[in-house]
Amino acid sequence: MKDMYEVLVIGAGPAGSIAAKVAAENGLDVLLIEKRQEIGDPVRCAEGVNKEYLKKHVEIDKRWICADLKGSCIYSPDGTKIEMAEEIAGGEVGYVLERKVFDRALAEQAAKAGAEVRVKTRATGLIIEDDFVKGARLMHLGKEYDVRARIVIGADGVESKVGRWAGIDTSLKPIDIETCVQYLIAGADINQEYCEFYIGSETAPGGYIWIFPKGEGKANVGIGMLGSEMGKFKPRPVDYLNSFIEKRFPDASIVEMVFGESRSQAALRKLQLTALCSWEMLHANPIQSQAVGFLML
Amino acid sequence: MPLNITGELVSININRYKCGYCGACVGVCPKGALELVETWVEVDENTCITCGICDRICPVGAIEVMK
Ligand SMILES: Cc1cc2nc3c(=O)[nH]c(=O)nc-3n(C[C@H](O)[C@H](O)[C@H](O)COP(=O)(O)OP(=O)(O)OC[C@H]3O[C@@H](n4cnc5c(N)ncnc54)[C@H](O)[C@@H]3O)c2cc1C
Ligand code: SF4
Ligand code: SF4
Repeated sequence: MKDMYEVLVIGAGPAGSIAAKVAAENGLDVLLIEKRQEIGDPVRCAEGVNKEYLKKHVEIDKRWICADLKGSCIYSPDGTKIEMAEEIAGGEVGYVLERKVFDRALAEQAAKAGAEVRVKTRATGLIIEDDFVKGARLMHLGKEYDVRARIVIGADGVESKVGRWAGIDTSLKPIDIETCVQYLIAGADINQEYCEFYIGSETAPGGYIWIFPKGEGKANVGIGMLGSEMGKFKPRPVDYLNSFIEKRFPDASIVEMVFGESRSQAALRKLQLTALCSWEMLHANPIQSQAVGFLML
Repeated sequence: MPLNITGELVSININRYKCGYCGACVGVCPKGALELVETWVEVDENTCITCGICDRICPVGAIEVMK
């Protein structure tokens, strides 16, 4: 690691990796840092993406794709099924990705384009001089480093601190987020060509449950609930998901658990104003369609 | 009052055995008192105002805040 770069990108999620790649391709000297030890792990995503948006931003590689969806089905509380085929949904359905492979591949593409990539390296603060961001303080294996850069890009996801360090309040209101729990289940009888959504205040108050197929009897089954619907003494998303799985897939095994939150349109608009990078601005899952366009540069 | 890992009384406790280190609490904390460090969440008790938003938002109920 040098002590000076032209561009420093904090966070190697899809947004950070694409930003680093584009900057490096344009001949800039780029450092991309990620605090986790493995890029893409743990996953925080249902892994559904809109095909058209994805094609616009990256060259698609078959290895990332677990399922190619033909449509989606929405179930209302009384069991009524609304089916949306690909054509009708206007390309709103898409692929189910393997985010672990996808995120890592994007970081590798950034490296191939010439960016230096560092994992297990966490930004702990910004270097601010004369009211300008001049770089960041990094922590790598317990040691501190000051790294200067002409441009610092905060692509640090939901737990974003970079914006706050620069004096922008990026904290999210509970109404701006969906808190999510998701299980990857295996050994279940699942239609691999459709994703399913279940709505209703008994199933998922202020949100919905999704089933995204992942190939070979596997699927991401998750729930997202509006943060403002949650309370200290109310059941948690994990409780609603457990009762859904017990009913719908009593024999399936849970092979992975995912927790997280997803930002709403309003929250993204706020981020957009501050020019922080977020993947949700580029892509969306088929039901939320929160994609806002390419904001990276 | 919640108890921390060593059994002390604290105003906020994060159960690291329950926590899935998703960062949702970090994103909503109005004071920036929480930080996701690799696979655990650290709280700066001097900055925390025990507003309880993080407790409400956690998808698994890993945070306990006592007002
Ligand atoms: C359960 C769930 C389901 C979802 N489903 C979908 C879906 O189906 N489709 C979809 O499009 N989106 C979905 N989302 C949203 C999706 O996961 C996010 O939009 C996406 O991951 C955001 O990408 P990002 O690059 O902006 O941030 P992230 O992927 O969060 O990347 C930010 C990175 O920055 C790192 N970082 C943070 N702070 C620092 C620091 N100080 N120093 C160094 N590194 C740091 C983090 O470790 C992380 O790797 C879902 C989210 C959840 C929780
Ligand atoms: S919201 Fe809950 S599960 Fe997520 S990081 Fe915070 S304490 Fe852990
Ligand atoms: S109680 Fe409020 S101030 Fe304290 S950590 Fe939680 S969200 Fe932040």
